[in-house]
Amino acid sequence: MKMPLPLIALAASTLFACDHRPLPPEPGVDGLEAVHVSGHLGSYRDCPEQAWENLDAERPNANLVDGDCATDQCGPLNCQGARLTFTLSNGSDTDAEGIGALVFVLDREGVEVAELPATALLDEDGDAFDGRLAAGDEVLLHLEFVGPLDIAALVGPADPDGDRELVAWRNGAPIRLVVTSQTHEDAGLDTPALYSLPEVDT
Amino acid sequence: MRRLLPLLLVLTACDAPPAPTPVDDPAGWMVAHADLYLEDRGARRAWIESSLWRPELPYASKRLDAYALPAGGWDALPEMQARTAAVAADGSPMPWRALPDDIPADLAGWRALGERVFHELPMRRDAYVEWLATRPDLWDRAGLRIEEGAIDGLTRFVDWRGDERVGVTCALCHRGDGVPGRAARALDLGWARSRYVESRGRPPGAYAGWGRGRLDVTEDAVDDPLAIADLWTLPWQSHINTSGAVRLDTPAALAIRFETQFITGHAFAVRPPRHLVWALAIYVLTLDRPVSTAPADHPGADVFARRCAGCHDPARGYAGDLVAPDGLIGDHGPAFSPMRGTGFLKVPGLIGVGAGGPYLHDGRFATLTALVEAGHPFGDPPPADDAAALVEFLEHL
Repeated sequence: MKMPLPLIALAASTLFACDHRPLPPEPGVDGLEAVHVSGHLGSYRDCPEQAWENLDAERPNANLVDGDCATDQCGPLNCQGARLTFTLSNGSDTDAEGIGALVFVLDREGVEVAELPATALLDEDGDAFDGRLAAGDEVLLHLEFVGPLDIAALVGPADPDGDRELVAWRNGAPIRLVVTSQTHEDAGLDTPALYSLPEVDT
Repeated sequence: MRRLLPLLLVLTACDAPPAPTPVDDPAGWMVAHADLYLEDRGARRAWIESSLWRPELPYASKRLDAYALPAGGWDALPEMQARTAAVAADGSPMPWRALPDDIPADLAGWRALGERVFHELPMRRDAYVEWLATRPDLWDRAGLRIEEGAIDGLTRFVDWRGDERVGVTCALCHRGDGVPGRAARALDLGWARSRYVESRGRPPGAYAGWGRGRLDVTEDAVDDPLAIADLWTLPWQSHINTSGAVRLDTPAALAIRFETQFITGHAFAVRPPRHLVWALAIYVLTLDRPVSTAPADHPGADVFARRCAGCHDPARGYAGDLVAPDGLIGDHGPAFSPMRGTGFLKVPGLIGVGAGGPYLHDGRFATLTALVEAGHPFGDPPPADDAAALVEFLEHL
């Protein structure tokens, strides 16, 4: 049987794609599936030492809690870690265990430019998630991670001409979530642009 | 030049986008459409897409990326527990109260619920406000009001982590002098924020210069505090936000605005029970309004008709549609804000305008006399007799 040229091209591209991790992982119809709910890149303006750019072994505390301050240098509103909220469902007929998560920031072309360290994976009530999801179940999870102080430095240079769209872009970037498991294939999603938490935005 | 003013205003307005046709009975419309808002995600999606008429603005795209999506998004956020307590002035614990889960059956029920929401629902949480709540020595200077032993406009609530916090209700900014709908012109939250910053060993920043009755509510990296608005003319306004970024083509746009405002104000972790924000919108659309005491033959009425009515329509609570800022006195910055700037400014209503300044969208004039003598809108002041008559007329609206 002759295979039409477009199908050959598709098959070839699929084979090449298999050399890399799917971007993002395909939704697991029979496995884990993550769906984006909400998120932000945190607020580090008043605690820059807590931000991703200044991440090092001596950093005192990356796990900031809403509105609280991990140091005495807190500012007027926020010293708050970044957070991504998503639903995770297990469509398979086996329980999932050892669930964890990775976070990457994407540039304007959708390329991963940095991994942002996760600091906590919490359930809907803010308690630590135990990493287990029974077959057929769905949970809402909050993933807290270390956000950047200046997202523009990660996703592209500041616009020299002050174009409004680019200026607006400076505070936002999409995030790639990869959900890992000891028992199931990875799941994941790409968010729309997430932004630093605004001081005031009514 | 004075004779050309109405023509200039009309020409300016011609640059503006078409205004929506207002709903005749906004509150009645809301009662009739409550089920749709509460149960039909597709309807809410259509409403938000219609109201955010400049979808490319970051203010709009953040919401369009997340609200009423077919799956996930902010609809999947857990509802906040609508359980709150007043913040006692003496620091003593106040009893917890729960906003009801029941859906009202009629306009009176919706309005009564909305009034409670106006006073009890924390629309946002701010660390500096929590700090301010513990500093009674600062309350008078900050313009906080104490009523029946509690701080008006603040409320205790339990956040998504189960921690007790202090939040801000609508009443903080929109219940000046204890009158619902009146801008809190004595409120000086910029000063309070600057004191908080200083308490942390940092310079006060730009906040200290905001002054009473002004707030910078746009996250746009620009210091552009705006005058807090009265709410009485909402039924006639075609747009809200100073730049008109939200079009009120249906009253549902107002409820969605409140819902998304709540979500951003709580760091995208929870959403409000929808029947509460629907009730809130009904309440603010039906607020008791001041009644004009100016006689129809007041000499200022004629001046108003000649100079002002081209934009401030008396049949719409003296509100109007959007105007291009070219030539207008005042700061044009909000029209071109990177986050919300539409290129236009909203014409606000004038009901109750005599209650006190600051005046103009940026609050640059302390008195009506200063505003009129500066020649608002285009810097062409009226003759002294006309100015005096106009000010007196405005004071009675």
